[in-house]
Amino acid sequence: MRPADKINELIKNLKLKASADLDKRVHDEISRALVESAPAEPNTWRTIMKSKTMRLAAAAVVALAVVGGMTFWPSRGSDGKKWWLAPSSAWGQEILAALDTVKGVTCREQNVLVYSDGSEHTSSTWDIFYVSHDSYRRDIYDGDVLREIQWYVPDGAGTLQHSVRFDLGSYFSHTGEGSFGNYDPVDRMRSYVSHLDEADKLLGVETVDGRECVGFEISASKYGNNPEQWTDCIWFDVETKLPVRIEQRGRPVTGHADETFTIIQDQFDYNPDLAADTFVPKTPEGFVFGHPDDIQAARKKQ
Amino acid sequence: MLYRRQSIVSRVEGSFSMLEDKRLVWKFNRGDLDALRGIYEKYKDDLVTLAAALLTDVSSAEDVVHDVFVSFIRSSGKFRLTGSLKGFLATCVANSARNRNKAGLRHHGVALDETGPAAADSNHPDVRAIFGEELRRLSWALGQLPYEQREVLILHVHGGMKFRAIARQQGVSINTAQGRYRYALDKLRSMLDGEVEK
Repeated sequence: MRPADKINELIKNLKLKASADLDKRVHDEISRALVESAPAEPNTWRTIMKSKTMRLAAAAVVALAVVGGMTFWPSRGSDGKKWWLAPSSAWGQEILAALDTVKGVTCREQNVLVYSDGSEHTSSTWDIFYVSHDSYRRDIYDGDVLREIQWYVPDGAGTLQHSVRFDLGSYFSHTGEGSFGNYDPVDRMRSYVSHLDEADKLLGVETVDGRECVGFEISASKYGNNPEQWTDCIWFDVETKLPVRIEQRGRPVTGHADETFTIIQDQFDYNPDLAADTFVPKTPEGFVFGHPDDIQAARKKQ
Repeated sequence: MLYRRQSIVSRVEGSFSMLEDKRLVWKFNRGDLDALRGIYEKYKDDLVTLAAALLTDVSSAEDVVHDVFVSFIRSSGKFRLTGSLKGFLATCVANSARNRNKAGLRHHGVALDETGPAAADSNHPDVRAIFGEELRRLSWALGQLPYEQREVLILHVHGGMKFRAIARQQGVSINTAQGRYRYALDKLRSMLDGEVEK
Protein backbone atom coordinates (compact mmCIF):
# COMPACT_ATOMS: atom_id res chain seq x y z
CA MET A 1 0.00 0.00 0.00
CA ARG A 2 1.38 3.44 -0.94
CA PRO A 3 2.03 5.80 1.98
CA ALA A 4 -0.67 8.20 0.71
CA ASP A 5 -3.17 5.33 0.54
CA LYS A 6 -2.24 4.30 4.05
CA ILE A 7 -2.78 7.81 5.38
CA ASN A 8 -6.14 8.00 3.57
CA GLU A 9 -7.07 4.62 5.03
CA LEU A 10 -6.11 5.77 8.53
CA ILE A 11 -8.22 8.91 8.20
CA LYS A 12 -11.18 6.92 6.89
CA ASN A 13 -10.90 4.58 9.86
CA LEU A 14 -11.08 7.37 12.40
CA LYS A 15 -14.23 6.67 14.39
CA LEU A 16 -15.42 8.29 17.58
CA LYS A 17 -18.66 7.79 19.44
CA ALA A 18 -20.82 10.68 20.55
CA SER A 19 -20.77 10.88 24.34
CA ALA A 20 -23.82 10.31 26.53
CA ASP A 21 -23.53 13.96 27.53
CA LEU A 22 -23.89 15.12 23.91
CA ASP A 23 -26.83 12.73 23.41
CA LYS A 24 -28.57 14.26 26.41
CA ARG A 25 -27.89 17.85 25.33
CA VAL A 26 -29.22 17.33 21.81
CA HIS A 27 -32.26 15.28 22.85
CA ASP A 28 -33.08 17.91 25.50
CA GLU A 29 -32.96 20.62 22.83
CA ILE A 30 -35.27 18.58 20.60
CA SER A 31 -37.69 17.99 23.47
CA ARG A 32 -37.69 21.70 24.29
CA ALA A 33 -38.42 22.57 20.65
CA LEU A 34 -41.14 19.94 20.56
CA VAL A 35 -42.88 21.55 23.52
CA GLU A 36 -42.54 25.07 22.10
CA SER A 37 -43.72 24.29 18.59
CA ALA A 38 -47.30 23.71 17.59
CA PRO A 39 -47.10 21.43 14.57
CA ALA A 40 -49.11 22.79 11.67
CA GLU A 41 -51.53 20.54 9.82
CA PRO A 42 -50.17 19.93 6.37
CA ASN A 43 -52.40 21.23 3.62
CA THR A 44 -51.21 20.21 0.19
CA TRP A 45 -52.96 22.96 -1.76
CA ARG A 46 -51.89 25.64 0.70
CA THR A 47 -48.35 24.27 0.54
CA ILE A 48 -48.39 24.54 -3.23
CA MET A 49 -49.83 28.02 -3.30
CA LYS A 50 -47.48 29.27 -0.57
CA SER A 51 -44.50 28.25 -2.63
CA LYS A 52 -43.55 30.66 -5.40
CA THR A 53 -41.84 27.89 -7.36
CA MET A 54 -44.82 25.59 -7.11
CA ARG A 55 -47.18 28.42 -8.07
CA LEU A 56 -45.10 29.10 -11.16
CA ALA A 57 -44.91 25.39 -11.91
CA ALA A 58 -48.69 25.10 -11.58
CA ALA A 59 -49.10 28.11 -13.89
CA ALA A 60 -46.66 26.56 -16.36
CA VAL A 61 -48.63 23.34 -16.42
CA VAL A 62 -51.79 25.29 -17.18
CA ALA A 63 -50.02 27.31 -19.90
CA LEU A 64 -48.58 24.19 -21.50
CA ALA A 65 -51.99 22.58 -21.50
CA VAL A 66 -53.34 25.61 -23.38
CA VAL A 67 -50.58 25.71 -25.99
CA GLY A 68 -50.27 21.92 -26.14
CA GLY A 69 -48.75 20.60 -29.30
CA MET A 70 -45.94 23.16 -29.55
CA THR A 71 -42.52 21.74 -30.46
CA PHE A 72 -39.72 22.08 -27.97
CA TRP A 73 -36.89 22.70 -30.45
CA PRO A 74 -37.08 25.56 -32.92
CA SER A 75 -38.04 24.82 -36.49
CA ARG A 76 -35.36 22.82 -38.27
CA GLY A 77 -34.76 25.26 -41.08
CA SER A 78 -32.46 24.48 -43.97
CA ASP A 79 -31.09 28.00 -44.09
CA GLY A 80 -27.35 27.46 -44.19
CA LYS A 81 -26.63 30.84 -42.62
CA LYS A 82 -28.78 30.18 -39.59
CA TRP A 83 -26.75 27.22 -38.43
CA TRP A 84 -28.46 27.16 -35.05
CA LEU A 85 -31.74 26.24 -36.71
CA ALA A 86 -30.24 22.94 -37.82
CA PRO A 87 -30.83 19.77 -35.75
CA SER A 88 -29.06 19.97 -32.41
CA SER A 89 -26.49 17.33 -33.40
CA ALA A 90 -25.45 19.43 -36.41
CA TRP A 91 -25.50 22.54 -34.27
CA GLY A 92 -23.14 20.86 -31.82
CA GLN A 93 -20.78 19.88 -34.65
CA GLU A 94 -20.68 23.50 -35.84
CA ILE A 95 -19.64 24.66 -32.38
CA LEU A 96 -17.10 21.88 -31.87
CA ALA A 97 -15.53 22.74 -35.22
CA ALA A 98 -15.23 26.36 -34.09
CA LEU A 99 -13.74 25.26 -30.75
CA ASP A 100 -11.15 23.18 -32.62
CA THR A 101 -9.67 26.40 -33.96
CA VAL A 102 -9.03 27.72 -30.46
CA LYS A 103 -5.36 27.61 -29.52
CA GLY A 104 -5.68 29.86 -26.51
CA VAL A 105 -8.34 31.84 -24.69
CA THR A 106 -8.65 34.39 -21.94
CA CYS A 107 -11.80 35.13 -20.01
CA ARG A 108 -13.10 36.79 -16.88
CA GLU A 109 -14.84 34.89 -14.07
CA GLN A 110 -17.02 36.49 -11.41
CA ASN A 111 -19.29 35.24 -8.64
CA VAL A 112 -22.68 36.86 -8.17
CA LEU A 113 -24.60 36.33 -4.93
CA VAL A 114 -28.37 36.14 -5.48
CA TYR A 115 -30.43 37.00 -2.39
CA SER A 116 -33.84 35.56 -1.60
CA ASP A 117 -35.56 38.72 -2.90
CA GLY A 118 -33.79 38.35 -6.25
CA SER A 119 -31.33 41.20 -5.67
CA GLU A 120 -27.73 40.50 -6.60
CA HIS A 121 -24.27 41.34 -5.34
CA THR A 122 -21.15 40.80 -7.43
CA SER A 123 -18.13 39.59 -5.49
CA SER A 124 -15.15 41.95 -5.42
CA THR A 125 -12.88 39.00 -6.20
CA TRP A 126 -12.64 38.08 -9.85
CA ASP A 127 -10.26 36.13 -12.04
CA ILE A 128 -8.78 36.25 -15.50
CA PHE A 129 -7.87 32.92 -17.07
CA TYR A 130 -5.24 32.39 -19.72
CA VAL A 131 -5.37 28.92 -21.24
CA SER A 132 -3.19 27.38 -23.94
CA HIS A 133 -3.05 23.75 -25.07
CA ASP A 134 -0.75 22.72 -22.21
CA SER A 135 -0.59 25.62 -19.77
CA TYR A 136 -2.91 27.61 -17.64
CA ARG A 137 -2.65 30.85 -15.73
CA ARG A 138 -5.10 32.48 -13.39
CA ASP A 139 -4.82 36.08 -12.22
CA ILE A 140 -6.92 36.78 -9.15
CA TYR A 141 -8.01 40.32 -8.40
CA ASP A 142 -9.57 41.90 -5.31
CA GLY A 143 -11.36 44.86 -6.88
CA ASP A 144 -8.68 46.62 -8.95
CA VAL A 145 -5.77 45.06 -7.07
CA LEU A 146 -3.97 42.01 -8.41
CA ARG A 147 -3.77 39.69 -5.39
CA GLU A 148 -2.33 36.51 -6.84
CA ILE A 149 -1.09 34.81 -9.99
CA GLN A 150 -1.18 31.02 -10.35
CA TRP A 151 0.63 29.22 -13.15
CA TYR A 152 0.14 25.57 -14.12
CA VAL A 153 2.79 24.61 -16.66
CA PRO A 154 4.24 21.28 -17.86
CA ASP A 155 7.16 19.99 -15.82
CA GLY A 156 8.49 16.68 -17.06
CA ALA A 157 5.66 14.15 -16.84
CA GLY A 158 3.75 16.29 -14.36
CA THR A 159 2.64 19.88 -13.84
CA LEU A 160 4.41 22.65 -12.00
CA GLN A 161 2.09 24.81 -9.92
CA HIS A 162 3.71 28.13 -9.15
CA SER A 163 1.82 30.86 -7.34
CA VAL A 164 2.77 34.35 -6.28
CA ARG A 165 0.82 36.15 -3.55
CA PHE A 166 1.34 39.89 -3.87
CA ASP A 167 -0.62 40.60 -0.69
CA LEU A 168 1.62 38.27 1.34
CA GLY A 169 4.88 38.93 -0.48
CA SER A 170 5.32 35.19 -0.96
CA TYR A 171 5.53 32.49 -3.59
CA PHE A 172 5.04 28.73 -3.63
CA SER A 173 5.96 25.99 -6.08
CA HIS A 174 4.86 22.41 -6.23
CA THR A 175 5.13 19.77 -8.93
CA GLY A 176 2.42 17.15 -9.07
CA GLU A 177 1.07 14.48 -11.34
CA GLY A 178 -1.41 15.06 -14.13
CA SER A 179 -2.46 18.08 -16.15
CA PHE A 180 -3.46 21.55 -15.06
CA GLY A 181 -6.80 20.82 -13.54
CA ASN A 182 -10.47 21.08 -14.22
CA TYR A 183 -10.70 24.74 -15.02
CA ASP A 184 -9.96 24.68 -18.73
CA PRO A 185 -12.82 26.77 -20.18
CA VAL A 186 -12.49 25.18 -23.62
CA ASP A 187 -12.85 21.69 -22.14
CA ARG A 188 -15.88 22.89 -20.25
CA MET A 189 -17.39 24.27 -23.47
CA ARG A 190 -16.83 20.96 -25.25
CA SER A 191 -18.48 19.16 -22.38
CA TYR A 192 -21.52 21.42 -22.59
CA VAL A 193 -21.83 20.94 -26.33
CA SER A 194 -21.69 17.16 -25.94
CA HIS A 195 -24.88 17.46 -23.86
CA LEU A 196 -26.67 19.72 -26.31
CA ASP A 197 -29.22 17.01 -27.13
CA GLU A 198 -30.24 16.99 -23.47
CA ALA A 199 -30.67 20.77 -23.18
CA ASP A 200 -33.72 21.85 -21.17
CA LYS A 201 -34.32 25.00 -23.15
CA LEU A 202 -33.05 26.83 -26.20
CA LEU A 203 -32.56 30.50 -25.42
CA GLY A 204 -33.31 31.89 -28.89
CA VAL A 205 -31.52 34.78 -30.54
CA GLU A 206 -30.65 37.61 -28.19
CA THR A 207 -27.95 40.21 -27.69
CA VAL A 208 -25.47 39.23 -25.01
CA ASP A 209 -22.57 41.50 -24.13
CA GLY A 210 -23.24 43.42 -27.33
CA ARG A 211 -23.19 40.42 -29.68
CA GLU A 212 -25.98 38.55 -31.39
CA CYS A 213 -26.06 35.17 -29.70
CA VAL A 214 -27.96 31.91 -29.45
CA GLY A 215 -27.77 29.70 -26.42
CA PHE A 216 -29.18 26.89 -24.39
CA GLU A 217 -29.93 26.06 -20.79
CA ILE A 218 -29.15 22.71 -19.20
CA SER A 219 -29.60 21.32 -15.72
CA ALA A 220 -26.28 20.39 -14.12
CA SER A 221 -27.89 17.05 -13.21
CA LYS A 222 -27.61 16.11 -16.91
CA TYR A 223 -23.82 16.01 -16.85
CA GLY A 224 -22.99 15.04 -13.30
CA ASN A 225 -24.27 14.00 -9.93
CA ASN A 226 -25.68 17.46 -9.25
CA PRO A 227 -29.05 18.77 -8.01
CA GLU A 228 -31.61 19.60 -10.69
CA GLN A 229 -31.85 23.18 -9.40
CA TRP A 230 -28.35 23.89 -10.66
CA THR A 231 -28.73 25.22 -14.17
CA ASP A 232 -26.14 26.37 -16.64
CA CYS A 233 -26.64 28.72 -19.58
CA ILE A 234 -24.23 29.13 -22.43
CA TRP A 235 -24.48 31.66 -25.26
CA PHE A 236 -22.66 31.45 -28.60
CA ASP A 237 -21.86 34.25 -31.01
CA VAL A 238 -23.85 33.55 -34.17
CA GLU A 239 -20.94 34.85 -36.28
CA THR A 240 -17.98 33.03 -34.69
CA LYS A 241 -19.99 30.13 -33.15
CA LEU A 242 -17.78 30.51 -30.08
CA PRO A 243 -19.08 30.94 -26.53
CA VAL A 244 -19.62 34.51 -25.36
CA ARG A 245 -20.95 33.92 -21.88
CA ILE A 246 -21.38 30.97 -19.50
CA GLU A 247 -23.50 31.20 -16.37
CA GLN A 248 -23.66 28.48 -13.72
CA ARG A 249 -26.76 29.40 -11.73
CA GLY A 250 -28.42 28.26 -8.55
CA ARG A 251 -25.32 27.10 -6.70
CA PRO A 252 -25.99 26.89 -2.96
CA VAL A 253 -24.54 29.31 -0.46
CA THR A 254 -23.42 27.37 2.56
CA GLY A 255 -25.44 28.26 5.63
CA HIS A 256 -27.93 30.42 3.68
CA ALA A 257 -30.56 28.11 2.26
CA ASP A 258 -32.50 30.94 0.62
CA GLU A 259 -29.54 32.38 -1.26
CA THR A 260 -27.66 31.12 -4.31
CA PHE A 261 -24.72 32.22 -6.32
CA THR A 262 -23.97 32.34 -10.01
CA ILE A 263 -20.55 31.87 -11.58
CA ILE A 264 -20.24 33.98 -14.72
CA GLN A 265 -17.55 33.61 -17.33
CA ASP A 266 -17.47 36.35 -19.97
CA GLN A 267 -15.15 38.69 -21.86
CA PHE A 268 -13.81 35.74 -23.84
CA ASP A 269 -10.91 36.54 -26.11
CA TYR A 270 -10.07 33.68 -28.45
CA ASN A 271 -6.56 33.18 -29.80
CA PRO A 272 -5.37 36.41 -28.19
CA ASP A 273 -1.99 37.86 -28.99
CA LEU A 274 -0.40 37.00 -25.66
CA ALA A 275 3.05 38.02 -24.53
CA ALA A 276 5.60 35.23 -25.03
CA ASP A 277 6.19 34.94 -21.29
CA THR A 278 2.51 34.72 -20.27
CA PHE A 279 2.97 31.13 -19.12
CA VAL A 280 6.44 31.58 -17.64
CA PRO A 281 6.25 31.71 -13.83
CA LYS A 282 7.91 34.79 -12.40
CA THR A 283 8.68 35.60 -8.79
CA PRO A 284 9.22 39.23 -7.78
CA GLU A 285 12.48 39.90 -6.02
CA GLY A 286 12.39 39.69 -2.24
CA PHE A 287 9.33 37.44 -2.05
CA VAL A 288 9.67 34.63 0.49
CA PHE A 289 9.00 30.97 -0.23
CA GLY A 290 6.09 29.37 1.63
CA HIS A 291 2.61 28.05 1.19
CA PRO A 292 0.08 30.88 1.76
CA ASP A 293 -1.65 28.80 4.45
CA ASP A 294 1.62 28.43 6.38
CA ILE A 295 2.52 32.10 6.02
CA GLN A 296 -0.91 33.25 7.17
CA ALA A 297 -0.87 30.78 10.09
CA ALA A 298 2.60 32.00 11.14
CA ARG A 299 1.48 35.64 10.97
CA LYS A 300 -1.60 34.90 13.05
CA LYS A 301 0.63 33.39 15.74
CA GLN A 302 2.75 36.55 15.75
CA MET B 1 -15.85 -10.50 -8.12
CA LEU B 2 -16.10 -10.03 -4.37
CA TYR B 3 -15.22 -6.36 -4.74
CA ARG B 4 -17.89 -5.96 -7.42
CA ARG B 5 -20.50 -7.60 -5.18
CA GLN B 6 -19.48 -5.40 -2.24
CA SER B 7 -19.70 -2.36 -4.48
CA ILE B 8 -23.25 -3.28 -5.59
CA VAL B 9 -24.32 -3.97 -2.00
CA SER B 10 -22.84 -0.66 -0.93
CA ARG B 11 -24.69 1.22 -3.69
CA VAL B 12 -28.01 -0.43 -2.81
CA GLU B 13 -27.48 0.39 0.86
CA GLY B 14 -26.66 3.98 -0.14
CA SER B 15 -29.93 4.27 -2.08
CA PHE B 16 -31.94 2.94 0.87
CA SER B 17 -30.15 5.34 3.18
CA MET B 18 -30.95 8.33 0.92
CA LEU B 19 -34.60 7.30 0.71
CA GLU B 20 -34.73 7.03 4.47
CA ASP B 21 -33.14 10.49 4.76
CA LYS B 22 -35.73 11.99 2.41
CA ARG B 23 -38.51 10.46 4.49
CA LEU B 24 -36.98 11.78 7.73
CA VAL B 25 -36.56 15.28 6.25
CA TRP B 26 -40.14 15.24 4.93
CA LYS B 27 -41.46 14.34 8.40
CA PHE B 28 -39.14 16.83 10.08
CA ASN B 29 -40.42 19.65 7.82
CA ARG B 30 -43.95 18.81 8.91
CA GLY B 31 -43.10 19.40 12.53
CA ASP B 32 -42.19 15.84 13.51
CA LEU B 33 -39.17 16.54 15.67
CA ASP B 34 -38.87 12.84 16.46
CA ALA B 35 -37.64 12.53 12.89
CA LEU B 36 -34.83 14.83 13.95
CA ARG B 37 -33.94 12.37 16.71
CA GLY B 38 -33.66 9.74 14.00
CA ILE B 39 -31.36 11.97 11.94
CA TYR B 40 -29.22 12.72 14.98
CA GLU B 41 -28.91 9.07 15.96
CA LYS B 42 -28.04 8.10 12.40
CA TYR B 43 -25.23 10.60 11.89
CA LYS B 44 -24.02 11.68 15.33
CA ASP B 45 -20.89 9.48 15.43
CA ASP B 46 -19.81 10.43 11.92
CA LEU B 47 -20.28 14.12 12.64
CA VAL B 48 -18.46 14.03 15.98
CA THR B 49 -15.58 12.20 14.30
CA LEU B 50 -15.49 14.74 11.47
CA ALA B 51 -15.52 17.71 13.85
CA ALA B 52 -12.91 16.12 16.10
CA ALA B 53 -10.62 15.49 13.16
CA LEU B 54 -11.02 19.11 12.06
CA LEU B 55 -10.50 20.63 15.49
CA THR B 56 -8.35 17.85 17.00
CA ASP B 57 -10.34 18.37 20.17
CA VAL B 58 -13.25 16.14 21.19
CA SER B 59 -14.98 18.59 23.57
CA SER B 60 -15.08 21.34 20.95
CA ALA B 61 -16.20 18.76 18.39
CA GLU B 62 -19.21 17.84 20.50
CA ASP B 63 -20.05 21.52 20.98
CA VAL B 64 -19.97 21.96 17.21
CA VAL B 65 -22.31 19.01 16.59
CA HIS B 66 -24.64 20.29 19.32
CA ASP B 67 -24.73 23.77 17.74
CA VAL B 68 -25.37 22.32 14.28
CA PHE B 69 -28.39 20.37 15.51
CA VAL B 70 -29.74 23.35 17.46
CA SER B 71 -29.62 25.38 14.22
CA PHE B 72 -31.12 22.49 12.31
CA ILE B 73 -34.09 22.33 14.70
CA ARG B 74 -34.86 25.96 13.84
CA SER B 75 -35.01 25.15 10.12
CA SER B 76 -38.01 22.85 10.58
CA GLY B 77 -40.65 23.60 7.97
CA LYS B 78 -38.32 25.37 5.57
CA PHE B 79 -35.40 22.99 5.12
CA ARG B 80 -34.86 21.94 1.51
CA LEU B 81 -32.67 18.93 0.87
CA THR B 82 -30.90 19.45 -2.46
CA GLY B 83 -28.18 16.82 -2.08
CA SER B 84 -27.33 14.18 0.49
CA LEU B 85 -28.35 14.83 4.07
CA LYS B 86 -25.04 13.54 5.37
CA GLY B 87 -23.23 15.92 2.99
CA PHE B 88 -25.35 18.83 4.18
CA LEU B 89 -24.71 18.06 7.85
CA ALA B 90 -20.99 17.54 7.18
CA THR B 91 -20.90 20.95 5.49
CA CYS B 92 -22.62 22.55 8.49
CA VAL B 93 -20.14 20.89 10.84
CA ALA B 94 -17.22 22.05 8.71
CA ASN B 95 -18.54 25.63 8.67
CA SER B 96 -19.11 25.68 12.39
CA ALA B 97 -15.69 24.15 13.05
CA ARG B 98 -14.07 26.74 10.78
CA ASN B 99 -15.83 29.59 12.59
CA ARG B 100 -14.78 28.14 15.91
CA ASN B 101 -11.22 27.82 14.71
CA LYS B 102 -11.21 31.39 13.36
CA ALA B 103 -12.66 32.80 16.55
CA GLY B 104 -10.03 30.97 18.57
CA LEU B 105 -12.74 29.34 20.62
CA ARG B 106 -10.86 26.08 21.02
CA HIS B 107 -10.39 25.50 24.68
CA HIS B 108 -8.15 22.91 26.20
CA GLY B 109 -10.57 20.05 26.33
CA VAL B 110 -9.88 16.43 25.65
CA ALA B 111 -7.56 16.19 22.67
CA LEU B 112 -8.35 13.65 20.02
CA ASP B 113 -5.24 11.68 20.84
CA GLU B 114 -6.17 11.47 24.52
CA THR B 115 -9.41 9.60 23.99
CA GLY B 116 -9.70 5.90 24.45
CA PRO B 117 -8.99 3.70 21.48
CA ALA B 118 -11.49 4.38 18.77
CA ALA B 119 -13.28 1.49 17.20
CA ALA B 120 -11.40 0.69 14.03
CA ASP B 121 -13.61 -0.35 11.19
CA SER B 122 -12.09 -3.78 11.05
CA ASN B 123 -12.61 -7.06 12.78
CA HIS B 124 -8.98 -7.97 12.49
CA PRO B 125 -7.54 -8.15 16.03
CA ASP B 126 -4.10 -6.86 14.99
CA VAL B 127 -5.59 -3.81 13.31
CA ARG B 128 -7.71 -3.17 16.36
CA ALA B 129 -4.67 -3.44 18.64
CA ILE B 130 -2.46 -0.97 16.77
CA PHE B 131 -5.18 1.50 15.85
CA GLY B 132 -5.04 3.41 19.11
CA GLU B 133 -1.35 4.22 18.69
CA GLU B 134 -1.71 5.06 15.01
CA LEU B 135 -4.65 7.31 15.79
CA ARG B 136 -2.59 9.18 18.36
CA ARG B 137 0.23 9.73 15.86
CA LEU B 138 -2.17 10.72 13.12
CA SER B 139 -4.01 13.12 15.42
CA TRP B 140 -0.77 14.77 16.46
CA ALA B 141 0.29 15.14 12.81
CA LEU B 142 -3.14 16.48 11.77
CA GLY B 143 -2.85 19.10 14.51
CA GLN B 144 0.38 20.38 12.95
CA LEU B 145 -1.27 21.15 9.59
CA PRO B 146 -2.66 24.63 8.85
CA TYR B 147 -6.41 24.52 9.33
CA GLU B 148 -7.29 25.00 5.64
CA GLN B 149 -5.15 22.04 4.57
CA ARG B 150 -6.49 19.83 7.35
CA GLU B 151 -10.01 20.79 6.32
CA VAL B 152 -9.51 19.80 2.67
CA LEU B 153 -7.90 16.52 3.66
CA ILE B 154 -10.54 15.54 6.22
CA LEU B 155 -13.54 16.65 4.18
CA HIS B 156 -12.28 14.84 1.09
CA VAL B 157 -11.07 11.63 2.69
CA HIS B 158 -13.35 11.28 5.69
CA GLY B 159 -16.36 13.32 4.58
CA GLY B 160 -16.22 12.00 1.01
CA MET B 161 -16.71 15.51 -0.38
CA LYS B 162 -15.56 16.42 -3.87
CA PHE B 163 -12.79 18.98 -4.31
CA ARG B 164 -15.21 21.22 -6.19
CA ALA B 165 -17.56 21.37 -3.19
CA ILE B 166 -14.71 21.92 -0.74
CA ALA B 167 -13.26 24.65 -2.96
CA ARG B 168 -16.65 26.37 -3.00
CA GLN B 169 -16.82 26.21 0.78
CA GLN B 170 -13.35 27.62 1.22
CA GLY B 171 -13.91 30.26 -1.44
CA VAL B 172 -10.89 29.13 -3.44
CA SER B 173 -10.33 27.53 -6.84
CA ILE B 174 -10.53 23.78 -7.24
CA ASN B 175 -6.82 23.76 -8.06
CA THR B 176 -6.03 25.47 -4.76
CA ALA B 177 -8.12 22.89 -2.90
CA GLN B 178 -6.38 20.04 -4.71
CA GLY B 179 -3.01 21.67 -4.01
CA ARG B 180 -3.86 21.93 -0.32
CA TYR B 181 -4.79 18.25 -0.30
CA ARG B 182 -1.54 17.16 -1.93
CA TYR B 183 0.54 19.44 0.27
CA ALA B 184 -1.23 18.20 3.42
CA LEU B 185 -0.62 14.59 2.42
CA ASP B 186 3.05 15.29 1.74
CA LYS B 187 3.46 16.99 5.11
CA LEU B 188 1.56 14.29 6.94
CA ARG B 189 3.63 11.59 5.31
CA SER B 190 6.86 13.34 6.20
CA MET B 191 5.73 13.96 9.80
CA LEU B 192 4.59 10.38 10.30
CA ASP B 193 7.81 9.05 8.76
CA GLY B 194 9.74 11.29 11.14
CA GLU B 195 7.83 9.89 14.07
CA VAL B 196 8.58 6.37 13.01
CA GLU B 197 12.27 7.19 12.72
CA LYS B 198 12.29 8.53 16.28
